[in-house]
Amino acid sequence: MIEFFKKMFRGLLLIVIAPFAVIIFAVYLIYGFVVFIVLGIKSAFLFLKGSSILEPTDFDKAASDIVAADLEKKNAAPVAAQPSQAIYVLPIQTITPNQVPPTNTVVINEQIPQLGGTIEEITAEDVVVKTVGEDE
Amino acid sequence: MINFLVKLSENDRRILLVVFFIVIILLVFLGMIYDGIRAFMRHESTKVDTLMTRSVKSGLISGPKVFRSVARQKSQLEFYRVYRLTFLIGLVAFAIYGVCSLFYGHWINFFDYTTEGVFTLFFKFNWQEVPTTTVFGITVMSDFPPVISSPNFTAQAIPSYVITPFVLYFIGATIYQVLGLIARSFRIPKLAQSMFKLDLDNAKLDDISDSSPEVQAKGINKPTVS
Repeated sequence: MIEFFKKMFRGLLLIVIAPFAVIIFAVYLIYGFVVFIVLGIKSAFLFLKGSSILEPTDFDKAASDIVAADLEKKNAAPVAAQPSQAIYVLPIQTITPNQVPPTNTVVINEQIPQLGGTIEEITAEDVVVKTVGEDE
Repeated sequence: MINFLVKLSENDRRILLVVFFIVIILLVFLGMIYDGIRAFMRHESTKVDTLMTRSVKSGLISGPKVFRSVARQKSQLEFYRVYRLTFLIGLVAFAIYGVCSLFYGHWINFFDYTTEGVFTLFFKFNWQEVPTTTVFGITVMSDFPPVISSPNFTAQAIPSYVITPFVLYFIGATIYQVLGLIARSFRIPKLAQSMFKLDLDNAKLDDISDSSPEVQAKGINKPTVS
């Protein structure tokens, strides 16, 4: 209901502002025609020179070059290192699932993985370097 | 007011009710037109953003003055780009009109409803003899006016039939594109003002007033905006 009254109010507002809106429109109509004629003449001259008014200007070209250079720089930037993951080195032995790593496990990172339930059988010959989450 | 309403006849009350509903419907209809124009102009005004994105991203816009200048130039070029077709269609319509008028030996009257105008396809009412009634001293229409002319196809009006769609397109597209130009022109100064303005209500500065004058002179106290 409030929306209905608001709509009625906007209708009333349109009646009030209509004369001013018509004046503004008429002014811009003349301005638009003048702009169109001026740009049309300019376009004709440029056409005779083998160019077009709609071609990018020097400013556009410079702006485009800068944006392209920025983009290139962004693409060429080295890929950010992945957040370090827990790497642990195990001696040769078999670990069955749901078994905690042996006590002589060397943990090369402060982030010790949550163990228990997901440790797979490790069959590497000397040592195994395993990244947590690699097999997930 | 109540006494005034009591004195009214039943017929007057009915007419009053009808006039009241017509006014409400008219206001709602105008409100819908207002909403439509506003939505259209808002949509058209965002073209400035599209036109200026690359220039702004490049960092070549050094200040509001440069922004206004470049944006105005781009807006005018955009108007020129879209208006070319409209202008061409208007020109073609006028050329057809001129050539046909030459053959006819006089300027064709578009609004003629008897032989050569497009209004031969529509009903023509005699608005001079419209039946009226008086309510509160105001004369209002009480019935349809008498019909002067019924729709009839005439060969002489064919140029009018051909030109009319072109003319309607020309008028419609001109209104559409000029409204777009107005919308963009209104948005440019608004953007030029807002883009280079920082809302200082939310800006926070670190207090480095006790640092050495050399450090303060470097002007390194940049605000953080939350």
